[in-house]
Amino acid sequence: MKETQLIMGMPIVIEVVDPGVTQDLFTMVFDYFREVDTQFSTYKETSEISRINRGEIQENEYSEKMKEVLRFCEQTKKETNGYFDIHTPSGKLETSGLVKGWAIQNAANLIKEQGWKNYYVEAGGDIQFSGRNTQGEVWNVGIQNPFSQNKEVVKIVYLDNCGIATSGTYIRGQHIYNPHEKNKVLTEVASLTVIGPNVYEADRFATAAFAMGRKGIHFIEQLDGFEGYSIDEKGIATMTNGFEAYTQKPLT
Amino acid sequence: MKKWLLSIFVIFTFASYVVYQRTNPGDKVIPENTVKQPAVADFEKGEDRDDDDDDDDDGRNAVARVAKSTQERAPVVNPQTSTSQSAPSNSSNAPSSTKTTGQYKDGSYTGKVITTIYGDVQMRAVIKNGKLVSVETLQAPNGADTSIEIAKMALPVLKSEAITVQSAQVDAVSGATQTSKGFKGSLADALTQAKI
Repeated sequence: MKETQLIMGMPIVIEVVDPGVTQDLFTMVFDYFREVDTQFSTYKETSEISRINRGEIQENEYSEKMKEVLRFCEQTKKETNGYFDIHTPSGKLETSGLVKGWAIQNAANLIKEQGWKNYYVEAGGDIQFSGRNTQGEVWNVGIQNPFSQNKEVVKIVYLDNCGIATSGTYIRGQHIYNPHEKNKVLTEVASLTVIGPNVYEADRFATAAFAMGRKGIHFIEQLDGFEGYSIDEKGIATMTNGFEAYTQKPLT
Repeated sequence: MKKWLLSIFVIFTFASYVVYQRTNPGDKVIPENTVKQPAVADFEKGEDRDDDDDDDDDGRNAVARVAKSTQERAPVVNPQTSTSQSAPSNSSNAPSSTKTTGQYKDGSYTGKVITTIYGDVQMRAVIKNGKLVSVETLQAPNGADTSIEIAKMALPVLKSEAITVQSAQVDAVSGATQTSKGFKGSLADALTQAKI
């Protein structure tokens, strides 16, 4: 069973292939994403993060989830030499760089807690996988072509109980252009995909590594348990040493 | 002696011009309502709206529409074209010339540095004949070599390949949806400075 809903301004896809799954599970998980959006969306005036940014809530009044997210953001900032920073110059907080991966991971945990084994949860191109697909095989996942609007795939990886996340300037990034060279990409790295032990870890390091430009893939190379695939503006991909192991289809 | 006289004349002329420029700021001021009203009107036309499929486009659209309205509004003839211009300056907040046509003053305007989760971003807008003619990226996260230890690391050679489109069926696709608000923020700041 598979369902897509548009929440947090992006398509959220849940597929559970185990027999006997019901609509209730999907309702519960999509409700969870809506809850996260209500709390963390900087585009919602009434969200907790917006209220914090307007100075209406003091630090000791923050919800437990907010405290957790802010703690994770601080930790990630330290682990990425400051490349991951949620503080804007105006003194406001922008947690969206971490909340997406965190929410996907929590949603996947909800499904797991209900006893389901074979599923994936995707939000805006970042995905957590568990078990096997409908054919009983390891999930096969495409890395999107950063130069195409369509979901064109330029690499296929086989993922078993892990997470994948891609950072880049395309899709929304195309809003940023030189009026005279509308097709010119403003950054030298078009996209950077990270495979990690789970989507939360993959997402936060993909976000930070993308900010490092060409060095980002080397940052991923030195992280234990993470592999990456970086595509530059000329369509040349650079991969970490362990990445190719994911491109081989397992024999199971 | 002739050279001296010529030099003094040139210096005096330039000094007079500078004094004139400084003491007559009033002639560049256009009442606010005549400037801002058209911009708002353009904004309300809702141009460019149909391609907005996301929820964080406010900054981008504001910039895009402002730029568009400027181009439509810019007068063709500029009586001050031959006026000598002061030296171009790249320093922050310093317009490099003072020509006045359309909605923006001519010159190049450096936006403030915006810190994003991707690092610092800074943009420069160049206005010519009242039109936005170019947007330059002065600082982008990918160009930032500072402050990270990885910059000092001896980088191992990693395998590279040219990407090729695959036709095989996949269960899911990983791609990016991240936006670059910093670019919009810094550009909007540069354009605010350029406003008459």
